[in-house]
Amino acid sequence: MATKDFRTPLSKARGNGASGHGTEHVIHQRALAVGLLLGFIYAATSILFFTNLSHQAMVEWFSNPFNAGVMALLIIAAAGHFNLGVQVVIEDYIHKPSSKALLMLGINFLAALMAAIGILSIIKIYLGA
Amino acid sequence: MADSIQPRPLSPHLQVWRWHVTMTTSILHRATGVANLAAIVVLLAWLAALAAGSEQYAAFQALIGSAFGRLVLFGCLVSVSYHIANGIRHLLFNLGIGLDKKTATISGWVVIVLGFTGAIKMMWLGYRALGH
Repeated sequence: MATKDFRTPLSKARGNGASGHGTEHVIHQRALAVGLLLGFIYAATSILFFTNLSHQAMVEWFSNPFNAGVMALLIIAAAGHFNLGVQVVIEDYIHKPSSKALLMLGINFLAALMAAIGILSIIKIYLGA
Repeated sequence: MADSIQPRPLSPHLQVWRWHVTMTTSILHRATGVANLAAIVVLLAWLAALAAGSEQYAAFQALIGSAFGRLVLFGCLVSVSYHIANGIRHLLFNLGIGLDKKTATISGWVVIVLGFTGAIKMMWLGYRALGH
């Protein structure tokens, strides 16, 4: 680790590494991971310890804005984290540019669909399902 | 031109590597990350059923409560639970913690065990919440 650092001050300030981009991908992935972790721990413990999972109990749980908000953020973070993660998997294994682009577009749409289904459901439950 | 090129050294891949646990945790992290799609689908189906009403929710509960449903749910929980445990390990790696071989090997076994026990615990808590 005691090798000489050949980076220029500007490249250090930009912090983008050899490829010139991608740092934000790594940071977003981890930021979403931390959010997911906190949201999952809260939602799982709160639901498993303090409800009996019945329809009535869940509607009651979701009528609390904090609960509904955490669940909505959890879904958004899951969709985003999934999107970024699968993007890396596609980049690693699919080398044909057209298939790669098509698959990535598909994953983007899938992630957006996840967020839409989750959030609309949560809003409907929150307003009284 | 092709004749003049010597066969290039190839990086060792799966079939020539001695098995080790840190390699397994890495492969499992990617596999469970993709498999977590199933978990998200189950979660979204649960939310959609809740939103649709008590009848649809009862249908969802019957489906997830069937033998096949429970198997799928347990599989999803193992996948999520492992991915979370190893994800925390990765976040610690990112902070520069536990990167030496010995610690990484031990923590690798720990997250594999946590993946299963976490899923069993959540399943148990689910049964308890339902009053079984």
